[in-house]
Amino acid sequence: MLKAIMRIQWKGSWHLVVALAVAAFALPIVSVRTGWSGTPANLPGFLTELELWGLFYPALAAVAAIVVAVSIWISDRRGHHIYALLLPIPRWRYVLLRYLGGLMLLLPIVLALWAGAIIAAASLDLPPGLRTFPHALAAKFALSLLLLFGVAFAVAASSSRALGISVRLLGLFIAAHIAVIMLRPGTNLIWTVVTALVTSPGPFAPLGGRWMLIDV
Amino acid sequence: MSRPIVSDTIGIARPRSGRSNLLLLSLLTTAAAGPAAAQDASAWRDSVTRLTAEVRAIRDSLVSHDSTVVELERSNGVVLSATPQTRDAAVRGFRYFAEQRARWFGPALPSPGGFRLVVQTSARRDILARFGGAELWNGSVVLTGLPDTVDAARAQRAATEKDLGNQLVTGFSELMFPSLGEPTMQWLSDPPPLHMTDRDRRSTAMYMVMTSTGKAERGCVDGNLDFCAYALGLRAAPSSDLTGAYPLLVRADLFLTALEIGGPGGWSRILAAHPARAEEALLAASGLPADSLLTRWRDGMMALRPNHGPLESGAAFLVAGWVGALLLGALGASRWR
Repeated sequence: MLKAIMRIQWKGSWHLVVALAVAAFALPIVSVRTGWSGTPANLPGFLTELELWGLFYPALAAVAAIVVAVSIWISDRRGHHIYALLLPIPRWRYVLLRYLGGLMLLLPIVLALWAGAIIAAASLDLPPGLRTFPHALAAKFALSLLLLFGVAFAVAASSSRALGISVRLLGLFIAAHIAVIMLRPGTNLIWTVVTALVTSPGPFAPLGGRWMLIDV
Repeated sequence: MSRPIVSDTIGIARPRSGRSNLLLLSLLTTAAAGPAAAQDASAWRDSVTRLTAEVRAIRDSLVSHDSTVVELERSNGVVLSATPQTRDAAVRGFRYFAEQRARWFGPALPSPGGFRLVVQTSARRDILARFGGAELWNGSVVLTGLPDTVDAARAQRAATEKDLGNQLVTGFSELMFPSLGEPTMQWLSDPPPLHMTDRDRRSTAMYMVMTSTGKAERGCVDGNLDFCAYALGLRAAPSSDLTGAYPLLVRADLFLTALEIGGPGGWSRILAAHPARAEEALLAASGLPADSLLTRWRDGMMALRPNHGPLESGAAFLVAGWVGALLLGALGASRWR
């Protein structure tokens, strides 16, 4: 069953996966090649540039997670889930198979980034004091992708009713934020929630920090 | 609306306006001019000195809205006063200031006459209060170091209520900076960056140290203390072909490390030592020989390097937990209706 689901998903989204894998492979190579002048004259500038390039890693993970999650569920949504409901398996098992199939689609993207990071690190003649972290970078990317795919998958898999309720709750929260900030200018509810989400043990904490292929 | 203020120096009530300031100065100048004609030069000089002090006191009085500023707390020879609407922020800021002062400066004062630090604060008003006037309201916080004579060191700053504690510390460090003496001042160039958190300062200094490319700086990273001392501007070059110097923030980090090692009395020991060179000031602050201090500082820098690269420890467990929760949510939320 898993094989069948994977084959269906691969057929529907292989071109997207290939495009994302090419981007993942190129990102580390381009990031070090654009900033590295071949001499250690401007190491702080190089590392600063590399840190800015590091913002693209979580961005790429987010794009890949959303694209894969949406591509997994788009056929079911178009067909009003009739195919899924006709299958002789419980709903939770079908969702689990879809999830595992999605993870298989993410694998080539992670491997491409890993290979790109290794090649990028090996291609530079770095001065003493600098170290390369291709494996740690690939591991961080894999974890971030897994996490963001989990979020995107949960949203894509949920019913229209659940999505509607979520959107209404979000609107209510924004309205509450506006009211609070007008009555107590020092209190920012959105900032408080965002801070809780991006700092440990918040769900997006692993996305933070420096995404450095090369560091001191 | 013009509010009357009472000057604590001359004891008269006057409206607070630029015109009245001018009038007051004119009156004082006129009052001093008559007797001055009958005095000799030294008496005239004393008179001008006194007048200058009084004008300064009046200026402080005007700036700090003395009519509404009330005393809130008093500890370790420092008095906190503030306008009523700034009370809570002032008390919070004062606690932070007291903590930081004890940590970096101990009992040391900027001058024997004490100090006076006036901070103009601002905060946003809520939507209901905005109907009655401006979007921002202003207050004052006055920090007075006793004995607060006319010779007291003085400074003024502006801050939001949120940043008040930080501004009190920064203002105080600027007042304290000249007390270090000319050699240490020249070496540091600016007051220590106490507005930065320890983590930010140390991390920035570490990156500066690790990415510097001069021969002396690289030698320091490799463990040569003479090269460290040269790159930090503490000693002359041990060899003529040596190049490179660390940025000033690295010096400040070393200075603060020395104070931290030496404990709360470090600043006072520098004042007592009257150092002729920055190295002597570091010795007095830390209580360690220069090479020992440099070794500890360098080891601290090396230890700050990110050993695991971009991957934080525990990230895998955190991700596993959240992914599990999200998957359970997805399995339960997918009632396709």
